[in-house]
Amino acid sequence: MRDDELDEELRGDLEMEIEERVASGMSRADAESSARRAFGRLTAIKEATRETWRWRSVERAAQDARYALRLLRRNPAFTAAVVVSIALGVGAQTAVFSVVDAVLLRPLAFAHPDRLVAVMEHPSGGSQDRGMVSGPDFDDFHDQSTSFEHIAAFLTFTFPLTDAGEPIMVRCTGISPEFFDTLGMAPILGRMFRPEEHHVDGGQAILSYGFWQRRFGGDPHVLGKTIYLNHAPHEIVGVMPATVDLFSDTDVWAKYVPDFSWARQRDNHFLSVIGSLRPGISAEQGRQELQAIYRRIPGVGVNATIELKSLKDQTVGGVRHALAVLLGAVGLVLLIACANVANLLLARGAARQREIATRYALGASRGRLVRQFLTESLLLSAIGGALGILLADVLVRLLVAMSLDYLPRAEGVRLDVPVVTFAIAVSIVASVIFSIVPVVAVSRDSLHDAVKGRGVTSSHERSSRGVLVAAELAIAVILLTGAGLLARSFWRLLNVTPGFRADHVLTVRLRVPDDRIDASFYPELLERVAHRRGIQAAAVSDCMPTGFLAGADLLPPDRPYDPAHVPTADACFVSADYFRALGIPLVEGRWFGDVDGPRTPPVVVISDSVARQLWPGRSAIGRQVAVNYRSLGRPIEDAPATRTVVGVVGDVRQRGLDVPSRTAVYLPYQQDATNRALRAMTLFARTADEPEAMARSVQADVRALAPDVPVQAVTSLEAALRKTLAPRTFSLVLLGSFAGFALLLAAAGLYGVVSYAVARRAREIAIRMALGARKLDVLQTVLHQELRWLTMGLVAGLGGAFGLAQLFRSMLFGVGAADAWTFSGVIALLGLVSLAACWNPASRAVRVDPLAVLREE
Amino acid sequence: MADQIELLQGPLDMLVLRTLQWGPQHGHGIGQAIRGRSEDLVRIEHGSLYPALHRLERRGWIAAEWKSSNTNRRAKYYRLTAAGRKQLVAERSKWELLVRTIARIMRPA
Repeated sequence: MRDDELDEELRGDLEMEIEERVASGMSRADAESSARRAFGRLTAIKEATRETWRWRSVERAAQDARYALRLLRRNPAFTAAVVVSIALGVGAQTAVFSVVDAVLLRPLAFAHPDRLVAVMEHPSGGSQDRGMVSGPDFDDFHDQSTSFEHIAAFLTFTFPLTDAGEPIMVRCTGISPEFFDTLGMAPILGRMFRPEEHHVDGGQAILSYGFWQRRFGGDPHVLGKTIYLNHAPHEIVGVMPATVDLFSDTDVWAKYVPDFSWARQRDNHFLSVIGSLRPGISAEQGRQELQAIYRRIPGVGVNATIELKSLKDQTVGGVRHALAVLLGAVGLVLLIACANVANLLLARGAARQREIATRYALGASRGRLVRQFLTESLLLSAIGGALGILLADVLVRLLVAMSLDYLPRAEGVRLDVPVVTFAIAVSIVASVIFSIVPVVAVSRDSLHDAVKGRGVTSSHERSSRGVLVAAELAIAVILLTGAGLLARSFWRLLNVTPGFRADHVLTVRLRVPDDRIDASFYPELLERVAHRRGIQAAAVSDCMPTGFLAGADLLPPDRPYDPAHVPTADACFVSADYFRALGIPLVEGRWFGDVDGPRTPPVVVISDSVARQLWPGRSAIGRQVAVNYRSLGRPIEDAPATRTVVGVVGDVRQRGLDVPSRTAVYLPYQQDATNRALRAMTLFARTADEPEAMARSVQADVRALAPDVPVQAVTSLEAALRKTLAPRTFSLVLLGSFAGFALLLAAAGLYGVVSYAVARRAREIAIRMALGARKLDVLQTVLHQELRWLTMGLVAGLGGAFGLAQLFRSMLFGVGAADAWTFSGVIALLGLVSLAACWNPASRAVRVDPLAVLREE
Repeated sequence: MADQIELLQGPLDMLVLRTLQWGPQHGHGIGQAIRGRSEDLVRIEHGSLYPALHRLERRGWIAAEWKSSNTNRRAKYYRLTAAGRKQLVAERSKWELLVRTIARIMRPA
């Protein structure tokens, strides 16, 4: 239709041309041929005209993109600066987001993740209150509650696995009957435990997916095979699918047997309980029901409470705060990157004003110019974003490798579709943010200015660059302060004295079968190890600082018994040289010695804090105290032996450098009536040289004495202690790199703005200097504006940092959120960096040769 | 012929609008008018003229209508719209700015 009209239009106009030529005296034939020649090829004209009808926008976009690409290629330095800024911003943001997504956002990989809860008991005035549940309490919850589809208990422990080859320790999770139903899991091979099997210890085992793969190579005929767990035969009856979010380190699923004597004690709290709520039942309803059941139990009291946490919170709640801080920090980095790119675009926009004005005058519409800018920005952010995603891939690997030890669900961190979508969205948002500024600069006024003037920039543009740099500086200050506070905390921690000397101590975890436990095993082992060359002292203990710790109730007969306020302490069974091996100082009295044996009067060594708590202002030596030792799988004694205090030793931070020392008691390991402590002990050897160098010989000693005792977890005490700092290292390294990056970007921005100010006012500087002004005065006048922005950025940043620091008070150690050292350090650092950034352009300004500049004009 | 000027898109649009200020005209007439006014210095290729007309029509600066010509032939006549009139003013001031600028740049030093 439109084609016909065009046809008719052209034909008509051609006819007119011919008629005109005929009228001027040509023959019809000549007129026709000459008119056709003059007209040109009709098809080409039609084609060109049709072009104006269709694909206009697409064509233009392509043209814009081609043009933009050409421009970017022509300015490689500019392009690289912008692309790298965006790539770093987007890359860091994406990497951190992928961690947040996998750890905090993604639902747990179980059937009904939203209905899964963890159940915790909080007895009123409870002594060992870690939320653990006792066996009888669990039975009551299970039998009486109606809010749960399933409710299950579990406990974790390690067992030696003594099949062919080296004995090893395997991590077991002992589960109650409905455990897998609660999680909505079914075996991929074989079956679960039968109800009646749950009342018999051992006999059957279910393999975890990982263990099945590692140990049996995924053998499909593994069912019916026998493994020797804890020196007893277990038939493999099933294989469970992999659990990525929880229990990922479980090797073997074993049974929790409720018939053991310790499992029947009301006050023996050792079970973790999980439940799946019935559909439509809220967590609060479930909590109230369980609490009612709990309070009905005799002796529990009306102040006891039940806590219900979603299983996800229970799993990742500990790292939520740190991750939120990191996500915020990386967002600030991205903002800084955007500000920097905007600054670069703006600076280039100023340089391109002539070009823009010319294109405008030649007929490009303002909309077209804006579109051109947007195309350039989008192109830049597309390239930067793509590089950013590649970078994120590398960063994610680094992050996971760094955080596997402590970050729950870290195995699930990866760049997947939602994360990459997020990265793309971030790049687009970023490009919109940083292209707004230069687009504003293409206002009609500035165009006219540019055409008329000789590059006189509007104050508007100048101040937008100032604001950008001020914002960059402010953000850099915030990030630097955060990193500074974390670094100060870390430094403080490294200087914490834990109360023992962790250096040069080798630790070896041993698990001894019951039938090997006799009076001679440990003394013989210690004898062997202690007499090796390079070993200064050797000891055993059922504790491992930062690892396994038991607890005890302390009952001194000279104090009235108050069930609500029973003094408690960390408790360890130790051999005589324990204090020497770990370097724990003796405050008063004596260490254990050979005189303390199974048949001598029971004794105890207490920590300084216990002495001060129980017998303030008086000597503790010779006092009496009954120690009720509590640890997993040990029955609580009705009438624990009363012990005589023979020594007082220094307090130690056994749980980690950032956990304050707790009261502690030490018992001679030969004086454990049940011998339970002897099953799993840690050997400590103080070495003259590097502890790792002695690992092999110490292992050989164990092997020589007891070939079927598995030796695992050989590590130095120092390494174990360092491991407790892993979360802080993670936060510090990340926040530190973000802050460093922010500082670099801000410095680059500052450098650009100052250089620009100097270049723009070279003439003014020259005139002033020619008139005899002093260099410093010239600088001050020229950089007056820039210095103001610098100060404003600094002040705003300090204010923001002060406010934000309150938010991560909980991540600090030994420093206040308003730490003067950190704040003054940040100011000094930023002052130095600003000075460095300004130095080059400023010195260029004062070296200006007035005559040369003025002659150029 | 060697001295003839080839017009860029911006100025061509402006000249077309200017020509239509004198009254509605068909494509052939517009070409002739520009050529005549420029004393044959500016010659407009048909391959540029018709795309320009359609482009301007699309933007709403000119409107088209089929009418009979003086020789009783049906022809497509273009006329300036109100928007076109405004555009012409804008183009003209831009153009003058450019001319002045270029002149200043080209001025002997």
